[in-house]
Amino acid sequence: MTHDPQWSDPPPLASKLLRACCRPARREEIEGDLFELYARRVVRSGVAAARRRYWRDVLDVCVRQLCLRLLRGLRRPAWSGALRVYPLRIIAALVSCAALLAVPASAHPWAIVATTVLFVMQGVIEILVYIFAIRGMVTRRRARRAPRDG
Amino acid sequence: MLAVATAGLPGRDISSILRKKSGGGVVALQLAGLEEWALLAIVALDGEAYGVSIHDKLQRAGMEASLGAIYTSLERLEEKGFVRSGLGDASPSRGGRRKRLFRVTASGKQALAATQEIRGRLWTLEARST
Repeated sequence: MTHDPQWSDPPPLASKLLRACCRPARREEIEGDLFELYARRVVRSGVAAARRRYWRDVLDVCVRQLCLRLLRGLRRPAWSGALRVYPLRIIAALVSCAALLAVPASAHPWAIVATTVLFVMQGVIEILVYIFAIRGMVTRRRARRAPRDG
Repeated sequence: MLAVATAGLPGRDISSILRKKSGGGVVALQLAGLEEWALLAIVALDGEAYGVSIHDKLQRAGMEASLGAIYTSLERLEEKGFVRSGLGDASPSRGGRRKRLFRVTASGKQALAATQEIRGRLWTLEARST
């Protein structure tokens, strides 16, 4: 089919846009379906019409896929999961943000000191979280290896 | 909303048709417009259902639906457990890419039957009122 002098590949920019918008798990079949329809339309209505229709289909698929992903994100908010896993980290970040917003409102030296202390505390909490996460990973890996070694 | 709209229907309790047991909880069966047509097309295509063939089937039945709308419906149907999918073989006509073939599950067939039954009851009511 690609040796046909009348043949032309689908618009490359549209194909790139399609690849960017689709989830990797669904990319192959969506690209394949649109390619199949494009090839059929080239034979039936010519390259120009097929390319126009390809662009229309790609934009339609992209808008719908992005809307679907957005709706899924709203239905399962990431922040609720993060709050459950890292409660101290999220609370520290929220308090720091609130303090950062409050400082310009009251330029009292104590407010600046309090904000600095909060930022330092947040940094310490971040470091502790990473230490615990790494320790947890090491413990799990050891637990997995233990039965094999034993 | 559907349960309220059909609350006055004769015969056995409509909630028994509308609801199914799933993992200990009760889930209302939901089939939106294009989802029902896509599900019917998958049943008709019998193992050969993928994006383009569903699109063609709907077009031949007189329904113009874009591929984007069909993919969205298929993803929702899969989330609800009414269809399951698997990747087929690659072919040169698709630029060497594989198809995703869809099959209707038992709960999908149950949902279609429930929708059909509700529609039949509503038509009977419509015929009685006229």
